[in-house]
Amino acid sequence: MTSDHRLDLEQHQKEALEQIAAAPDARALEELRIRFTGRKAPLSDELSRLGTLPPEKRREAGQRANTVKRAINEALDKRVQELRVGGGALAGAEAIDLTFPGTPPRRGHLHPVSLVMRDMEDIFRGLGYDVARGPEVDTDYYSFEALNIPKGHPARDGFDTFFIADQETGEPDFTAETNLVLRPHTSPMQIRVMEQQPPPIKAVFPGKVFRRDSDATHVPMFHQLEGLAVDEGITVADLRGTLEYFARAMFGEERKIRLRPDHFPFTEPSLEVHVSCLVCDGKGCGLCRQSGWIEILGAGMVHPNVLRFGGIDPDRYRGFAFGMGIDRIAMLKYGIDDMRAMFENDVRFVRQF
Amino acid sequence: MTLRISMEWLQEYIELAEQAEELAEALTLSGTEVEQIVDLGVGWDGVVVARIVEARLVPGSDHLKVLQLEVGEDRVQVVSGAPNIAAGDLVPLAPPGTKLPNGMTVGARKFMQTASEGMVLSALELGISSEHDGILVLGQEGESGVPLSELMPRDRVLVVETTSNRPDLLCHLGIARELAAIYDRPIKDWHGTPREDGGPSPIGVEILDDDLCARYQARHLDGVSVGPSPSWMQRRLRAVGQRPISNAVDAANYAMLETGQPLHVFDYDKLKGGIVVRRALGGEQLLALDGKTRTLTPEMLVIADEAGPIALAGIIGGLDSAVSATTSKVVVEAANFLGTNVRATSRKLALRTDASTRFEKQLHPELVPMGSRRVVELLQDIAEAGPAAEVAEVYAHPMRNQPIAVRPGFVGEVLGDAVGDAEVERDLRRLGFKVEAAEPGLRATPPPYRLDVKEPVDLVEEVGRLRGYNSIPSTLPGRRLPVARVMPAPDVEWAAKDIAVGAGFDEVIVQSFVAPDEPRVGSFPTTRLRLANPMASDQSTMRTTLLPGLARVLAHNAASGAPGARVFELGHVFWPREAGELPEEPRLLGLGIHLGASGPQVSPAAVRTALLELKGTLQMLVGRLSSIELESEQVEVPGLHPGRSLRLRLAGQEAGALGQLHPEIAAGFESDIVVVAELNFEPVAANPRLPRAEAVSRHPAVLRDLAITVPELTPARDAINTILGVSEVILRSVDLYDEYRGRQVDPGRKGLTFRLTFQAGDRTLTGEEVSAAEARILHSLKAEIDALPRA
Repeated sequence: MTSDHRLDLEQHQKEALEQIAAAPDARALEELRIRFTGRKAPLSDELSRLGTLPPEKRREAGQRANTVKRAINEALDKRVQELRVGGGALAGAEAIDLTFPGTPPRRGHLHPVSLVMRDMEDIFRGLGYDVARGPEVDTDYYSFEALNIPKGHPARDGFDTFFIADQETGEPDFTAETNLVLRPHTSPMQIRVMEQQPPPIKAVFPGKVFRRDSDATHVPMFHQLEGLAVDEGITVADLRGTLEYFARAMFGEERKIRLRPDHFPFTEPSLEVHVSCLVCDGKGCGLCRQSGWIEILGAGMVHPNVLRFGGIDPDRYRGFAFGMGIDRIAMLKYGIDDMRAMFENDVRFVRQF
Repeated sequence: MTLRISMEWLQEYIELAEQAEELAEALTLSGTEVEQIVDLGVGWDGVVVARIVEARLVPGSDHLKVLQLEVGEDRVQVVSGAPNIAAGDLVPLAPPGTKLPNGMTVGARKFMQTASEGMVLSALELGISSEHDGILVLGQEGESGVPLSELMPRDRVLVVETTSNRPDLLCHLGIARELAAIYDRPIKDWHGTPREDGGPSPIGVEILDDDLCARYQARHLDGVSVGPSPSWMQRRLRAVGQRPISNAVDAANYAMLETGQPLHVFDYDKLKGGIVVRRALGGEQLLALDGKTRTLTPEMLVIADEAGPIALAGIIGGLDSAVSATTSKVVVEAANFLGTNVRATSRKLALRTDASTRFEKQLHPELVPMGSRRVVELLQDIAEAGPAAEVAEVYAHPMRNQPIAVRPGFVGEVLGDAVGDAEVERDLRRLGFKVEAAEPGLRATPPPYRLDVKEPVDLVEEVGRLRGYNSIPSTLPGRRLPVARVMPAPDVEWAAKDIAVGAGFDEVIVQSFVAPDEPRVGSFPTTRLRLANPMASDQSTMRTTLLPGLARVLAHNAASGAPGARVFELGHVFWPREAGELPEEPRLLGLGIHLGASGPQVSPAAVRTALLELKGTLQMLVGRLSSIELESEQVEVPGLHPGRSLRLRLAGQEAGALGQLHPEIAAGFESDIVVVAELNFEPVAANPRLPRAEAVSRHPAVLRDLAITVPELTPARDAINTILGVSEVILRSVDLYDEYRGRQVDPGRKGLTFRLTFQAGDRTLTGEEVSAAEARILHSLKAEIDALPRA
């Protein structure tokens, strides 16, 4: 092999300087240092071959090669400095390993019932509804009588109501008008708001309710949201539209609703509202018991007697009302199987939401 | 109420080509929910009819019986625990290997060394009934060894749930009428004509309490031969979960399931004198058909003869007047009782029957003759009864449904759909209404079996449910702006919850019920509302404070593997007022932190930090949300550690407490060291903060650290109040950031270090100015609380 193959030093220097200037980080730069100045670098090779040259050429060639080597080393040093800019000397000794996991700020969690309640309030506020609370202990009058459920009415059986005992005798007075109960539904608020405010009324009332019942889908204290709209010319179609909007806002744009006749003493006509199943989208699955639909609420046009009890003229005004279980909707939304799990108050449960 | 409707039986009244699934959907969407479709006969492969030859107790058992069964030519031995085993009865037998409708496979087994070659089945196991009430007895007549499906052919049963306003639907005819309306199809001519030429009635009827009994009909029949009812009737009764008893009883039951009118049959020869419908006399007793004697009270209605009660009106008959194998003369009762009274009596005696569940929903008196005539016809057909005597009846105030006037366009207007009056008229006619044109509008008279349709909105429902609500448009109400809101919005609750969450507390929702002996914790009233009907004795009162509940939640979490929990609750408590008045129901905000088991793990410093964090959280919350200030006083509070508790005040009013749970109470709760706080949220909500902008000073602030020592027992607050009391106008803020006890201060004293911030809005402060102010502050501290500057 002859020494005809000569490194083009100018070209080599140009390439090296370009690559060094473009090195993105310390590791790339180190690779370039080895490639251009290491033992196996082309330039080292060139220098080691100087001995094969005639003496008159050896000196000149040596100077040229060393000039290139110096230029490369300078470029390497310069690039090291450049990469340190912004960190300077701090980048070394004071470097912090930021590949550690981030430290989250300490933050608590809202209960799933609260999250759903807040979502519902927001949806109805968007439709122009007021939001109000109300008393959890209420009278028989507001809980039943004024809602068109007189004494002895069979519908009363379905409420499994808790009665407040007389403070002295400990006995309930089931007959007195003033008899107190733990409200078994949020519907008493219909009457309370009608008494306080002339139409138009648009309001929702979320809150706790109580019934004597306990199993996987019932606890004695749970939550409902009641809605009421009273004005001239309100229709079943308005009720349908409102609930359809709600179902989509709550469960997703693609949800459909289905209305089915039902019976409640305080509405006429009365409806049960189903939403297309959240799991199977209507095809039929375990959650919807193969029906494709899930019942989410009861609703209807406010019964004329209820309007009268609220002091509103049923010949001039009509209204609709609806009520739904917040806990049940939270269970549907978050896939909670057992309602009791929501009220064991294990923080590990709450922290999932 | 759920009811079983046999498809086979239903065809008696209406022509139906539709599948059960389609009928179920149509009924459900028009208001009668079909919960389930039961396939009778499916999964019965291999089940045969067997006759019980002999039954004896399994040796060593007090309830298991070993049965010797005849199955055609064969003998089979099985063991059963059913209570209703009688030799001679035909029963369904599943030999080993049979797969039951519930998916279970029957095997050969041994019970206490006694071999059992299969299983005798209940109606539940066969999928006929949802109740477990013993072996399904198929009567005594008939052959053994034949497949069960020969005795009970295939059928499909709709399990329907009717609404409480429609007791007229609790029968096959009622469901048929609904389907007739839905499909616009006629009701068949389904019944014959009973013979009623038996002469004058030998029995008199008198109603003494016609407020509780609107109508009573008694029909006398002679020549009855009591025995098993025919197989078609037994089959239909079994298909809907009823147990056949005898032709006389079955006829009444069948007619009820057909027409919806409950009916009863007395043995005429066991009655003494005429029938009187009256309230019970106090202390009167009735031995009922279920074998139990009940003592009656005067608000209960009875059917009586001269000797005393023979039936509890609308609920159950008496045993002494019941038909038996020897009965030949019967009296058929068809009556209408006041629903609320039947319901009250049924509840008081804890006795519900097929009759009472229908009566309590208030039946129409016009159903009475329909049911009565049908029983007579059936008894003549299946029990050899002769012609009925003239009906003995009291019906003082006949009840006729009145027409309801509806103005033109009303129905379509309420529905919000373009339903014209012609369509309304057609729909109502299909539902059995009589409709006539009125000026203006129309007049509709409900059919005679319905009591639930009273006003125009009820007609809206009839039309709406028949047409279906899913085709009407979706619109939104309200072009008019609501008036200003009257009730306060819960916005401030959400703001408070956000602050608590931001401070690292998880939300809990604790049940409002507490035990009557729950120990007192906190500063709020202790008189609690009591429940008349609690679910459990330790849930019989309503909470007045959140603190014990929060402490228990923390203890529960620590015990189940989540120590160090930080929780909050915002909820109502109940403070009773005068009897009959609504209680005061303030919302309270509670906070709690679990620290750990007492001992060296939890240092006093850690407790101090946690307590001050609770205090700081509440101060911040009150400060952010309201215009009032949280005040506190370090005093003993019931249920809290006496040296580590604060009473809280808002606007001068008692507003809660904060502290470490008292060690004794903690021990009672099996709790570690926890710190808790609760604040009455109502004053916060009632005094919202409206921030007012104030210009920010552009001149630099001067910070000075002020280190002093004070006598050990001097509360930090005294030092702060003293500094603030000097009223230096350039003093912007006082921040107490360190408390020190130890060698560097004299015994009996402690060190306090403040950071004082001085700033003026109009100029840059000079060092001299600040030093002079600082000197005045120190002077005041020395004079007022015996403070000394610390080197």
